[in-house]
Amino acid sequence: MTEKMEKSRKTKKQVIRAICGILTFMIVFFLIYKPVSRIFEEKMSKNHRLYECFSMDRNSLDMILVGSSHIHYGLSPMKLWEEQGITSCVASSQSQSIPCSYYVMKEMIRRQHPKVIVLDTYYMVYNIYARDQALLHVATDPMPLTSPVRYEMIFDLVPKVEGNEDVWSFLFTLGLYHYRWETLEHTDFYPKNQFAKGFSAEAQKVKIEKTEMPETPGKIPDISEDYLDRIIQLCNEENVKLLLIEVPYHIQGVQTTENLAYHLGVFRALEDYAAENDVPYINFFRDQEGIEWDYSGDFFEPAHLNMYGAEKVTSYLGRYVREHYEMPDHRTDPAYQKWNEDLKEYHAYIQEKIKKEKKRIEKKKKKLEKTKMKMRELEKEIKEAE
Amino acid sequence: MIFTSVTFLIFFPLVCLGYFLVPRKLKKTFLLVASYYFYMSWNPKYSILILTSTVITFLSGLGIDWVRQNREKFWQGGKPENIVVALSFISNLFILVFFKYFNFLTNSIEAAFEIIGLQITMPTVDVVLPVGISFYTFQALSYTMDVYRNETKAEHNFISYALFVSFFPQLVAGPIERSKNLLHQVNEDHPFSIDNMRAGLFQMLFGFFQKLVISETCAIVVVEVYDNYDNYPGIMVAVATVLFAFQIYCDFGGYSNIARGAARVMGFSLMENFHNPYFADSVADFWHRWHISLSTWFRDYLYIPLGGNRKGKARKYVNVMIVFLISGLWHGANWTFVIWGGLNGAFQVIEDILKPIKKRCVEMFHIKTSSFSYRFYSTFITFVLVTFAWLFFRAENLDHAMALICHGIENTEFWSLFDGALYEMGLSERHFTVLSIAMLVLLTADLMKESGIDAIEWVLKQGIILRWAIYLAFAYYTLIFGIYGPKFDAAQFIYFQF
Repeated sequence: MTEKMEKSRKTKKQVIRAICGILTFMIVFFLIYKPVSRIFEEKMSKNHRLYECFSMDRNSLDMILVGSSHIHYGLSPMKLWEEQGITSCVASSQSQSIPCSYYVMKEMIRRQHPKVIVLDTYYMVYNIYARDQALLHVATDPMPLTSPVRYEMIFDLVPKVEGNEDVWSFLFTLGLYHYRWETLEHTDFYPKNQFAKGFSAEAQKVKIEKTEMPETPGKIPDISEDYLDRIIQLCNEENVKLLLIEVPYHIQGVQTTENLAYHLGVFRALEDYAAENDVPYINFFRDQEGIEWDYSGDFFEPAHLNMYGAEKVTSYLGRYVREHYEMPDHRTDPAYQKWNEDLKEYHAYIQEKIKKEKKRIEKKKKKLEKTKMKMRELEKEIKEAE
Repeated sequence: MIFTSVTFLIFFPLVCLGYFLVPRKLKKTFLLVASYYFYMSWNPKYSILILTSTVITFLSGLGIDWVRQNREKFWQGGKPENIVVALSFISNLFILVFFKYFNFLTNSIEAAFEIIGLQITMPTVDVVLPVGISFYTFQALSYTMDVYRNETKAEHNFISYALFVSFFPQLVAGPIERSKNLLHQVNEDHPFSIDNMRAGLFQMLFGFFQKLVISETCAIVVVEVYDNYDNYPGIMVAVATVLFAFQIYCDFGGYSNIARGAARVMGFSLMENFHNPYFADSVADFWHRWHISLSTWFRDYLYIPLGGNRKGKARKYVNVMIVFLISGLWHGANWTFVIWGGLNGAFQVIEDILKPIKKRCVEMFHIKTSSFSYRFYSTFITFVLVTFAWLFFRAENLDHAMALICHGIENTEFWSLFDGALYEMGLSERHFTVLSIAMLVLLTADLMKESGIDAIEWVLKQGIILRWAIYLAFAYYTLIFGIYGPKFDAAQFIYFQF
């Protein structure tokens, strides 16, 4: 063999070695990157529910509940389990926009192939891709690194949301969150066990006013409608039953009176839209048979239901899906034993919340007594002085 | 694009891949296109300037050749090639001075008139400094001189010459290459070598580590103290200046490592630009180790033409001062840089003057100059002198520099070094620990180099598991503790303003 051919063969060998070496190194790098980047992400504040839902055992959930904070205060998967033996989780995050919900649903369908997927329609009223980049992170960060849906979501939504970040800090979250090295906590390494499956129970009670639905429909914002169409198409293609709900909230306390009419108009329009597309829509702003609202006792703040209101909605929904869909009942299935164990923890959690609220009220009563006593003493002093 | 950007991390592998895949005839053109793309990512319009400098100096090489070949035909004696050299220098320096020093000159003239009581207003130019202009101008001019001195053959292939001037790894912040080193490499074959790739990539990784971890972390304290010196004890000005010494070393040295590493992956060898500068035992020695490509440029093209040290001691000192004052000015259009250069020159002059006295002391007291304590002492003094000069380099202007020095002397509060005040200048105690570990690694690498062991080669010789553990350790240390990303301002290299 000539010297030239020998050299060329040597170079080719080196090239192959180099390519193999680089590829192997990148695999090792990525294997380390996956857990390290997860540790640095801000998991516990606004979006731990999504992290939990994405890490649940595949094909173990019958129902997925998607939406914003309205749904994670409004629906309790453990109550559904207790009453109907249905497995579910709340795949919600703070201020989750409809486009984000679309991708969350896509990923959850990919992992779970549920029978029913429930979407709370509150964020249909906002014509946005996401409130801002920070809240977009809240929805994209938990997406599994090896899922194509994550990348589809990032490349679709990041360019459409204003901010000083570009796609790279969404694709490689370590590049964004590495500064947290000084403030990492125990929960960054060992996330808490979430037996409540995304539900947050609150025991406080606040009085609100009832709201009536209007006659005339408003206009559904374009972006929300576009992504709702995609959701409907996705559910049809994947053979998943889509169920739209509107968990009640009190608008007057949250928005100005102008937006009140606008919000309700959108929900009214959604009723027609859902009917046109053959999608059931349970609008809890309307009276539903079998549910009695207590406007003094079902909300812990104007925008969100408390645990008592949530129980009502959950029971209703449980009965509804039992009646309209072929839902399994896993309560006696030994494969789902963990759910029964989680139920015990859930009950303890609920009792704890009730206890705390009772204590808080007791404290306030005591304070009131003290204040009353002080008032009486003051009155006495003033009388004596006069 | 800056090296520490995702764009570069995509650009570089693509260019390497392209370089090795493209047929041999097109490799030069490919690299030239890639280099101009790299440069134009800053500002497309200024590529005209670098092209102009390239064309002028390319023609100067051909011109000198032509003049020499036709000397008898057109001229009787004399050296008409001097005119070619002069034209090349004047035109290139004119461009450099216009874009870099115009406003500085006009402001200085105004200030000078003000001192004698006259108010004049000179025109100002609103130009953005073209990135790398000081570097590529000097590199192109060195070619003219080398051809004139018969140290290099004139290059007849414009593509080759243009690539020599604009080769992207060293285009923006050096090393300022010589035609003797780089021009022939442009015309040579560079078959893929896995050793070059591994060494080059690791050198780049080390450069990123230096820049993002050490330099940027030091910068946090430097910016805080220099901008708000009144809030801190005077001793912190010294602390911040020491940190600045490492900031600029790791910024510039890191950049040079990335440049040399990137070139090495493609089979090119760029000259060493930094050689453990803070191990220097005299200021003169420091300038053999710091920004070597620039100091050797000034030595060969200014110091030696001025006479060097061949015209007596007094003239030597004058030459040294001239070279360092101009070198200071090269670094920036501000009197602080001139003073910085002047100080470095003055220190060397004083060192030289004190040499015989020093020698007598050493003999009188039987001092072992090879002992560790003596070498440590020399190194320490040199570091103190060089760091003092850095204060002027970093200060915004003369007033700022004087204010810093006064504050340092009048409100020293030496004890605040020990009462936790160190951790209230922008870096927590934990952060200082992270920085110290990184500095220890740097010290180890430099110590190895000083002892003659190439740290990179040493790592490459290790078994695969240890090697990869080292690569991953550097990579993740930089990814986690580096100062970069949307939460911090974009990491800019200091030397980009030159």
